[in-house]
Amino acid sequence: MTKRISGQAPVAVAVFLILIAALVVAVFFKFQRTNVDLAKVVDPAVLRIMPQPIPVPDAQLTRMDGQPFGKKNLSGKWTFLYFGYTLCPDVCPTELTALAEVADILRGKNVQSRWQQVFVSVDPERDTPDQLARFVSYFDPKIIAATGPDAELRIMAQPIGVGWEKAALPTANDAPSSSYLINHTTSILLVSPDATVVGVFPTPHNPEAMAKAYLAVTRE
Amino acid sequence: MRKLLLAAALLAPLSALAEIKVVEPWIPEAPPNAQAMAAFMSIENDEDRPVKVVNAHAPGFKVIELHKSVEENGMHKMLKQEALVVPPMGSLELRPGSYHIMLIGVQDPRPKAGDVIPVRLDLEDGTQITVQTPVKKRADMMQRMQKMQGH
Repeated sequence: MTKRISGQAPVAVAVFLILIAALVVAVFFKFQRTNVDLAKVVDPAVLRIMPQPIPVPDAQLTRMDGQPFGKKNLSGKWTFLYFGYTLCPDVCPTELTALAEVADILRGKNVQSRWQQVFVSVDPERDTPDQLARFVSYFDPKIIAATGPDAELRIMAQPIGVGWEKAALPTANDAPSSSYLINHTTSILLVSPDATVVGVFPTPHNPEAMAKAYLAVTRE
Repeated sequence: MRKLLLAAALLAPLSALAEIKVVEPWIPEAPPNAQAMAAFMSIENDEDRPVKVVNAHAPGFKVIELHKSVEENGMHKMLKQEALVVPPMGSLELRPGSYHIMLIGVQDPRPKAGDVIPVRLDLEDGTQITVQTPVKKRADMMQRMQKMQGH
């Protein structure tokens, strides 16, 4: 009895491994082909498809309503993901205005359920949940905002190519101040429902063109 | 002779004003708690020499600076400018993502869409020009600019 099992086990393992390998190869080629196809249907000035999609690393962030926010919140839906901060004088309001307009366009086309927009603040010192909520709802009531400790933010952001650094904000007579600006990445990332960054919307952001590119990529 | 002097007296202030013309000034309304705002406009110069804006003032803000937004390797930065230089027989566009007048330290009452803020431009030669600058919803102006770019 023992002999029979030991005789068949290596064969079973080998078959299993071959199946796994075939699956990996199949998935790889499907993925490759998909991205090549995607790159053909969208203008790279509007949406640059990543040659190598990057999974969003998990991190322990907190949503504006106090609930935990991490990789699982990016699963199951397409996500327009943007990193910024609420006291950002010009760039973030410009990008969030563009995102709100993309949302309006998609809603107008009845493309409602399969996407979300997420604003991650890289300024946890000043962006309290209340401040985050007031800021995003100024642009669109559906935008989700989250933030977390700097280390957690970097865990999520660095591998997907998002960075930031503090910069001094001028004050009268060069008086010391707790105010600062943050230089940061301005791209909006397109994250697929398996929480993987598949494309980047570079600036300047034209909402009509963004919505069109999004529909081209997500409609099969 | 008297007529000529009168004409000269009338023309003098006009010629100083004629140095630059400001077209479509606006300030985007800011989200709640914003610490800074920005003024945008197109400055046109009919002279055959460059005109420099070396300073700006506006009531309701603590500090005002001349800035340029730039993007380096996908990272947004703001660079302080010593002056905004309007080229001879040309124009300088102050717009989101480029040159702007940075209005820092927003004071109460916070400007809302519909308000008009007098923004004073100080030129290098000492001329001061006050531009009545309306506060507008950002979305309205962005849509307008996109339509203009599309044609």
